[in-house]
Amino acid sequence: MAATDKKNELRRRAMTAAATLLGLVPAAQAGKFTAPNSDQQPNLDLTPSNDRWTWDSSFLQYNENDRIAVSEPQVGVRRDFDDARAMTILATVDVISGSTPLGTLPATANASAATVTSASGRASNPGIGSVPTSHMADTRLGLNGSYERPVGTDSKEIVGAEVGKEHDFLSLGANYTLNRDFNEKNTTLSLGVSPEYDFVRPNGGLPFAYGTYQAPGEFQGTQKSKYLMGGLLGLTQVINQRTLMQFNYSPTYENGYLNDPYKLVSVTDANGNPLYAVHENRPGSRLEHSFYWLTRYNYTSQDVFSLGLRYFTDNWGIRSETLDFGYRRQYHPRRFVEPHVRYYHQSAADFYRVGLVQGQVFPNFASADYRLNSIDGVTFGLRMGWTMLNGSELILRAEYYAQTGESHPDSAIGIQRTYDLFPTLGATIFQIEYRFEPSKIWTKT
Amino acid sequence: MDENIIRHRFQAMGCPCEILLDSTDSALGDMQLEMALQEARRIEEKFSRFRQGTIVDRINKSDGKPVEVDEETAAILDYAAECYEMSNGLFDITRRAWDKVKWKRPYIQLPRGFEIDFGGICKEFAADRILSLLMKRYCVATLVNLGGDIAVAGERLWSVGIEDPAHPGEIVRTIHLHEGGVATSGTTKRPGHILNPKTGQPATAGPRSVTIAARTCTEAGFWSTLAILHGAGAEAFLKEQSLEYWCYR
Repeated sequence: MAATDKKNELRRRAMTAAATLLGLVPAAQAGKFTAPNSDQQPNLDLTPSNDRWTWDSSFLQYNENDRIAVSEPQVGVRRDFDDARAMTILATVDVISGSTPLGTLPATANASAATVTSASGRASNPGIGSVPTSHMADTRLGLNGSYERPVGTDSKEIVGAEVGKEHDFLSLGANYTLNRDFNEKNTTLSLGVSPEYDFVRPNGGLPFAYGTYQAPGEFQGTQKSKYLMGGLLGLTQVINQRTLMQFNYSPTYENGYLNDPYKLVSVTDANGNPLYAVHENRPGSRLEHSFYWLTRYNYTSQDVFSLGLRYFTDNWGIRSETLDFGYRRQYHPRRFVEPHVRYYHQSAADFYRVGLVQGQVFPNFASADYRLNSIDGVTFGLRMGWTMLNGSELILRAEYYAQTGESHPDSAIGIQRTYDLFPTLGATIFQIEYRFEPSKIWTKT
Repeated sequence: MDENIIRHRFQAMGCPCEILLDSTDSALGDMQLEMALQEARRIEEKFSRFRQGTIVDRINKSDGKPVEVDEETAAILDYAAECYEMSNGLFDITRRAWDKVKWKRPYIQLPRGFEIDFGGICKEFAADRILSLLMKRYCVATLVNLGGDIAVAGERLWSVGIEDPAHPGEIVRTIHLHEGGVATSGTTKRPGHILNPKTGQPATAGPRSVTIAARTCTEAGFWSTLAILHGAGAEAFLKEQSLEYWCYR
């Protein structure tokens, strides 16, 4: 209708003119300013300048019952420039200690399990019928930097690099992502690649696949490497004023040394008594596909529901499904609470073995790493956030994770069937995070 | 009145002004007031018609010669030019001379014998500017009121009373605001201060007060001024634009 167009045109012009004067839109773009529907609450960004530093610090504590504990302090800084460019640097330290399952089977009354010296030192003396573990202690340092900049008016590119270092491991990674907006910014397409190169230098030398554990001289040098190539194809779509959906497909290809040099597989006699252990033997390549679908629904401006579904599959035979449901309640303009629950299921890798039997031909590949076994996991979590008057934000997170698996798998042999081969694992996560903009905290009038 | 807000009153631009903050932190209130005062004074002093040597004074005394202006003044002149066009010449900061003004950034050339007056823009502009400065520093819900020109932002619903033009001091209607601006133009307090540039006469026969809610106070001010200039046709004009408005005769 011509009259309506003319009316809207005048309103749009008045809105644009005022916004331009107030510096809400750069003068060069003023002509292209599109007014929102009149029934839509306009979201006025009254901060014309985008130029700022934001600091983000956090401390995370992860504790498994009787097993691994990880302390993770992290500090990051983001510099936003007025022209929409930004730089980010993030430093992470992980201090890991505790015991982790070796992959070997429990000792029996007739045969002790291979007495174990661990990756980083301490021997453990597993009792009869309980899963042997080794004690480990390590520190991982991670440094991650990225740079993003607009490309034209509708696109943004992000390049990043990261380094990870442990005493026996070095990882060098890079990534590139291009985001492009379409359809008046209602649709965003993302394309990304992330190559990575890793070096492994295990304690005491590099074991042969199926090499006998603790056999003197059975090493193949000291260092191996692998490379990864990750991809990303993502689509973010505004469905309506309340609903947003995101679809991601991320394939990853890994090639090289994919074994865990500290994981073992027990070799037992026909009755399940462990005789000795060999180093695990995984395929030299892996192709993964991950599909992710997130729906976020703003029931009101204070209540936001989110549902995330992930499906993962790889050519090792692992399939996994994740379902994550969250609810965020903004009960005060500066405070929110966000409970969430996640369910995870994974099937075992084709070459997962509880153990090997002496006298039988070893399969092409075998690993007894519980992370390649079938797993069920449930997480209950709660996040709470407070925004201070100076704009800084404090976020607390607490989660409980319970992991279960097949305690008495059919493939267990003899007496091993009577033992709990997959003890239920409980873990807690606590995190405290504080974000702030120094200029808002220390600026004087 | 809500006990959990801070209210500071002050005088600026020849009007009673106030800021309201959704906070009980009095130190914060004092800092925000200080900032609001400074910005109000700055704008008042910079664009005053009556002070010697201000940019407006220099333009008005330029005697037909071009005057170079700074970026902020240029932005206001651009806005004034756009208002003139949008209103088909009704909204005119020179009172019937804008079509003779030569304005090309950064130079303005005003014909001899004419004056510019940013009075119809400045107060609304200042309200938006002050709000923006305050919000940029502390994200607490804030209302800025400069003599009835109001700008609000943040997570809070504010109640704003519209004064009854027939009974000054009495509230005729209360409106609720979440984000954006409100401006009121009228013929009550200073009768006839809005002149129709086409006739040179005060707007007549229209509503005594027009209140508009819009995205920004600046924008609301444009519409309320323009509505008054439409005189008797003000309501019809506003209705045609589907604006949120309240007119009182």
